[in-house]
Amino acid sequence: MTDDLTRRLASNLDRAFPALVDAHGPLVLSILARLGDGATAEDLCQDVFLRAYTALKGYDSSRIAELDVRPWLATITRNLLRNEYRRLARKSTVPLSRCAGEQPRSDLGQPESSVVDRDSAEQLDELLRQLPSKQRQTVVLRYVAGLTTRETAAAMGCPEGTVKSDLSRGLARLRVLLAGSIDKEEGS
Amino acid sequence: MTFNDPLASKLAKLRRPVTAELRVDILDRAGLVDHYCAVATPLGDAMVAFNRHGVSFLSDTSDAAVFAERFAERYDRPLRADHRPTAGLAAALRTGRGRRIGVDLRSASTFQRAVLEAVRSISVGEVRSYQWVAQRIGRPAAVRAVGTALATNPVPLVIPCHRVVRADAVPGGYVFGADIKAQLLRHEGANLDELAQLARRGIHYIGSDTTRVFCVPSCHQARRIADGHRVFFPDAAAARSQRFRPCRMCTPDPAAA
Repeated sequence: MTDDLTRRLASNLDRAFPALVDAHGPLVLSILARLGDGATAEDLCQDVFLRAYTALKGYDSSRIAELDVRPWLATITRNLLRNEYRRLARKSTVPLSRCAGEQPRSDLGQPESSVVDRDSAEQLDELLRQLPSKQRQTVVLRYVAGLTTRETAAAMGCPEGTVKSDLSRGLARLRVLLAGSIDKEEGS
Repeated sequence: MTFNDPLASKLAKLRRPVTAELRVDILDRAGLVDHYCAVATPLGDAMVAFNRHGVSFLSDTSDAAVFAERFAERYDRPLRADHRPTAGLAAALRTGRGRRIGVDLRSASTFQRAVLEAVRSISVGEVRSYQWVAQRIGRPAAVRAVGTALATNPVPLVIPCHRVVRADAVPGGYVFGADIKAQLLRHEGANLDELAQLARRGIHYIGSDTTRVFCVPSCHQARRIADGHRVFFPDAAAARSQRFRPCRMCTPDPAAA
């Protein structure tokens, strides 16, 4: 399936590009929404795909055909997010930790999901932001964006073993946080 | 996406779908969305679609929904409203001089593209025959195919397919109807009645005995020849045999060129 897409991108970029957006738009948007600010995710998503398009325009067709699209898009997304943070850090005096922590209530869940689902999604999103940066990125790439461990390793630029250990540590930490927040709710 | 771990499955639910609106935004940034707007033409209100390759579609409606429907019959690209057309397009439609306007003919066949490019060289107020176009693109036998290629011109008026008429100066078919075609040609100053009269007398070329140049009858140069110096020819061979050379403006005999 992915092979077919890269083949189509290689033969006619303009015609196949919408299919790339359809196939992998949610992957990019999910990474942006969970690692960055939910409010600017859609704007940044346009930037990511513009970068992808411009890059593909400059690649020759053999390079496009060999491209591992999903980790490639995830890498562009990570780079863009990093630049965005640097830009924000230069512009504002608010510490980054606070920028990342203070999430406005946004349209996190899917429209059809119930109130309970939305609440638990929002809660999970908040807890996710308490993970150490690398664990959080790995968890988001693997479980939210849905990359395989191999693809996650490629996008993170580290061995698969590191991904696996980051994932298990990340999930374990999330479980602890989750248990803690449930205790808190029940206690109040 | 399903995972064995329930927490992982919960995380998978944090995936965010791309809305239809965002999809168009993304494609627009990459320059893959056609924009459209209303334009005034000699025929009245119309709408045009354009993208970074040029004008892609023109249709004789001022109803955006109808326009979008007709656009979708041809292209499967997103369409988005815009405030004004590409630079020079409004003036080109007003004056009929659209030769320099960029057009997007990517979805046309090689043959149709050749036909449409050939037609762009016909000036305001002039007409050519279907045979002339066929000869000009080096396919003298493909006269009917020329008619078909013109009938599906995606950008009428911008590419003046209305300036191609039958050899007897009867307008022939047109995307917006034969009557509109005749009206449009008269508006541009082409004298169809005179051309038809000449054709009935078997005259298809006019030369000047002072310059020894011959033209198609509607050529601006031919119309300037004083009555006393006009020489009439039934075909290009007759003109050549009398040592007339073809006009460089109207290329009356593209087969030999």
